[in-house]
Amino acid sequence: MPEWRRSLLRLWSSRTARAGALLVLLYLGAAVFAGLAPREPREIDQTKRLKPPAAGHWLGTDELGRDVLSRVLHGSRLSLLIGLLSVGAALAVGVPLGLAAGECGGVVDLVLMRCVDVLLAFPGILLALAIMAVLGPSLTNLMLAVAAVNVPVYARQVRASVLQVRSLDYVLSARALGASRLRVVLRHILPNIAGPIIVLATLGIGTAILEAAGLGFVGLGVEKDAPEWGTMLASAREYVLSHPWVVLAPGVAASLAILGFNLLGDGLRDWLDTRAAAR
Amino acid sequence: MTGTLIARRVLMAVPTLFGVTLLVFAMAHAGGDPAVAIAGEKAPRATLERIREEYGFNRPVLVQYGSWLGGVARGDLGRSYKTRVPVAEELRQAVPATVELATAALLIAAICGIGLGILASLRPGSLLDLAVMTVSLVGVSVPVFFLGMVLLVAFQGRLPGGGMLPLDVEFEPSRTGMVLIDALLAGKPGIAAEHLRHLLLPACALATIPMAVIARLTRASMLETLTSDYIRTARAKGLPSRTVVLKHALRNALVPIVTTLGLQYGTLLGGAVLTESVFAWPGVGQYLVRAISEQNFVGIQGAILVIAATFVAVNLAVDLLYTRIDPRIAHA
Amino acid sequence: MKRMRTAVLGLLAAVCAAGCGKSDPSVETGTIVYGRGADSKSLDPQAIEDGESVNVVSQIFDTLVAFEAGTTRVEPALATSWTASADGLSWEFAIRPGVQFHDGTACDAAAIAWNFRRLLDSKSPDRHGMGEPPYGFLYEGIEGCEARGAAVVFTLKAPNAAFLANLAMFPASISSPAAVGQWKSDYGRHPVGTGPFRFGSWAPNQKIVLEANAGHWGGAPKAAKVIFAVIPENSVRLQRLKAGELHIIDGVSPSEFDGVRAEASLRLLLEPGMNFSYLAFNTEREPWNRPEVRRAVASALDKKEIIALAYSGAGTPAVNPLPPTIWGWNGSIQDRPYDPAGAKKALADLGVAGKELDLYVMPNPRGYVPNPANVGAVVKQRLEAAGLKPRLLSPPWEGGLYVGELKEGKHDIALIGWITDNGDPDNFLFTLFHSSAIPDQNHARYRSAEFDDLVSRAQRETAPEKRAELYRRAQERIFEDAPILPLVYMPNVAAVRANVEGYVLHPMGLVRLKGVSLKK
Repeated sequence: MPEWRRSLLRLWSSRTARAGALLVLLYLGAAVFAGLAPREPREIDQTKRLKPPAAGHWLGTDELGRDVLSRVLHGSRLSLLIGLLSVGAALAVGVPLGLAAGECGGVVDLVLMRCVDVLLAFPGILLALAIMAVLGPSLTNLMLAVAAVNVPVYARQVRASVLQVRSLDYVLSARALGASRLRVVLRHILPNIAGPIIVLATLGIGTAILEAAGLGFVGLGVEKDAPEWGTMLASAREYVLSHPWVVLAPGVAASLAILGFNLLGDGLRDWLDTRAAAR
Repeated sequence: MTGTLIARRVLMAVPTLFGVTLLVFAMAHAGGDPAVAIAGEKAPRATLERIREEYGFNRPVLVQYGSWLGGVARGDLGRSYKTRVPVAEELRQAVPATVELATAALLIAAICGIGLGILASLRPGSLLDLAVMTVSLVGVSVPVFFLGMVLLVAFQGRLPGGGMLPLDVEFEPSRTGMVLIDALLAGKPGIAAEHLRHLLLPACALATIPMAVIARLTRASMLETLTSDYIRTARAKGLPSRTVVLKHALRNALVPIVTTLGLQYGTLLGGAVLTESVFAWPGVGQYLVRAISEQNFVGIQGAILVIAATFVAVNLAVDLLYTRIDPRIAHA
Repeated sequence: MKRMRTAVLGLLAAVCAAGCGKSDPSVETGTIVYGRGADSKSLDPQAIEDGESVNVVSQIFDTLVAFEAGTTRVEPALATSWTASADGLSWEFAIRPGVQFHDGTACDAAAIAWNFRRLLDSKSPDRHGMGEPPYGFLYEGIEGCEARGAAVVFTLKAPNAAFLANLAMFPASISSPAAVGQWKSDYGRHPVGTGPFRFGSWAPNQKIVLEANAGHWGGAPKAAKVIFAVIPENSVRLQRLKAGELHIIDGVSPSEFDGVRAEASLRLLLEPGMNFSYLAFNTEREPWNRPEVRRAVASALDKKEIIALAYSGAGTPAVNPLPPTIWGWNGSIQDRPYDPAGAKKALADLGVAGKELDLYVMPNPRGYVPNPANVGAVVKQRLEAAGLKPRLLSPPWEGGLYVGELKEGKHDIALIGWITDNGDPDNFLFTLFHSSAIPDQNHARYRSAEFDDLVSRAQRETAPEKRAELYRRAQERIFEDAPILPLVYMPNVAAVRANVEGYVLHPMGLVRLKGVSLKK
């Protein structure tokens, strides 16, 4: 590959990361400063039903006269909460499982990976739907469902990374020097697979936001009047032809947030790859 | 690849499927009271007791699982709490609809994705490349149900917004269950064309994510092969660039793409759940969402089991295909 | 390279352009397509309880007597006349001669008596595992039914004012005994009656096709065929009505009313219904066991606002637990005024400011509340404004989960409603508020000896005016004690294409397609 092309690709990748970071920052900003939204997200007003975007209501109002902008902003807070907590929970379970499977091998590996296979035999959204159908709709259950769907994904990825690094020289030498298994895993393996895990988690937040919105859309999300993007889309759905802003606002917001995490994740991955290649 | 390897792969799918049945059964039985689901909320307590007796809900859970699993092995998924029709029969109508939708989406995704990927790879870094990459990135980020709604608005009045056929058209897809194929087989191109118009929007909505994934993959793998030594040799030999791109580069780039197509098929089955509910497409996804809202756990069980089993089967097929192609790449 | 690119682009264009042509649905004259949100569960009249099953059953079957158009009075159907004994315990019905089931067998007195034995006798072998009819409770007062020559005679356990109305209800539809015997447990998929339409085919979750019964005793129906099509999404259903694929739809969401009115090719039908929605307080729980608290909450809510926001203006504020379309309605009760400041102060004075509460709101629309989520959002907001801390809970309706939790008394306040079974006030006031209806339909868990006495006396009273007076007094008790807060009387709604003739909404929500035709 000629140098100019390689640099071009690197340029592209950094542009990806930059665009992603910008979108994610915008999204984080919206979530952090949602409290400064012009209106209470649940404040209803029967005199202001379905008003198109205008001064005072920059994204218009919905069928209960609620300010769409304020709801979308608060929606970012809710989706961030869901994204962070569910990905965090999935990592907290998935990473140790993946480490155990990769490091121990043998029966542990076999049993764990069989379980992972079973869970991965369900398309993600389907598993989440089924879990929600059993647990019933609530914010906690939503996060649990989204986390549960992602545990096997993380476990499998971490295991694969462990297998890659465990035969590297420094790991072998650490073992040769008599370091305990736990120490090897925590001090030598984990730091070396942190990169892929970070990429996975970044992309995972996007996926979590997407899955949460999908569950909200089929009515298995959070409290019915909560400003959650999928729930907003579901209740706005009958206005899609007559009052499109009620649909467009949460839909575009969700798309941008997911896009941001996807871009950032991709950029990080490329960057890690080139760094690995350079090493 | 040897026969024993194939046999091993297939055997490995068995415990997975077994685990799937266990999980599906456990989930269905953690839900509400099936007796109430059957008899309705006005039913007196004596009726509920009798139903528990009749359906065997008062037996030990393991016994219930055993008899359910036995039924599944015979193709009997139980009777729907709601309609009292065998779930297998209801799914026989719903599954072909989903398969048709997912297949159409996969075709669109493959054609558009590979096409866009090639276009982008020919002039890396160009405006066109940038546009294709942007579109594909946006494509994986837009929730499919939101995209569906946007398509509905955009094509309002020009393309039908739901269902598989106009309601007054009498047509029973009796051979494969897929309207398009059966209509063509029955020599009714008019119905097939009408069905195609209904299929277009949901298939396009569903196709976006795999299309985006395939476009990116095609671009990447084309870039790799286009810069490889033997393509440069081919060019140096003065072969016309169209021949180089199509005959040499694309063929090599196709291998990972085919693999991805197979894997995407499973994702499409999952995505169909949401797409079907936007476009009133009477497939497994819509069936499942309705079964959930009706707390019809026999239906939920059946639908999830069928999707998961298909998913496992497709993944297995891809797996076998891949191990089969793999050595050839090594020698190419 | 250029040609290559053109080829790819051309391919893309072809895919995108495929089938963008204009459709021309060749609507066959004489076929009425009725669009609805869900499929029927069964077409065995005795095995059903849901509206989607009832609506189809009403086309295929006849009953002994039928509700007149627009009222809850009954008129002759399969019975041409009837007489009651002086004590009201024995009723004799003369059966219309010469009526045949769709399968050609005779619908005579013996066949009719057979149907009632199937309905009443829980050990009847003719049920073929159907189980207890969900609406069997309407007929519990019937001691026996037998054929006597060309007549059918009923014996009642006690005089029952609602007996005739119950005979006009769908569970009392007359099935062909031969067909039930032939199909057994599968009869619900192969119904055979005497009605204006015969069963044609059923594609589950898609459509049910019925064909005209030209030999119907009341004359042939105008349409040759009727299709009941399932389109779950309200907006999609309306769109397909606009496209001309459907002729009649139900479940039009209030938000679409203006859109339908504005469309020249469509008509919106609105008729007062026989239902009401309400908030049930759990009167066994602190603080809702105190009438003052319940009355204070009542003045914290603006029913007009709820109607404007969650019903798109369609609906009337409800004052009584009985709609004005049903006799015995008390029109003299004046509702409490909306007074948010007063309510907040009253609640604070009563020591319930800041009280956390579980507000139950069903997840799916019901006939009496088209958008429960929005009602919930408005009620929650107003209760918050009054100083309470509500939390919205929406367990699934189907499978009895929602009502099940209400029966267990898990709610503080719950949104619920009632649609008449038979058009009788007893079916509202006794069914919903008598203490014996705890934990069944009495979701407020209301116990009042005085109220119980009023509605029990009304059940035994035979003089209509005296009954009505008892019911008016019962409504005053409910208003005073406020175990529930009536919200809205919801009209029956349908949208039809402008060329649909002869479709009339019945106050009980019955669908009748016999007289419907399409104007060219």
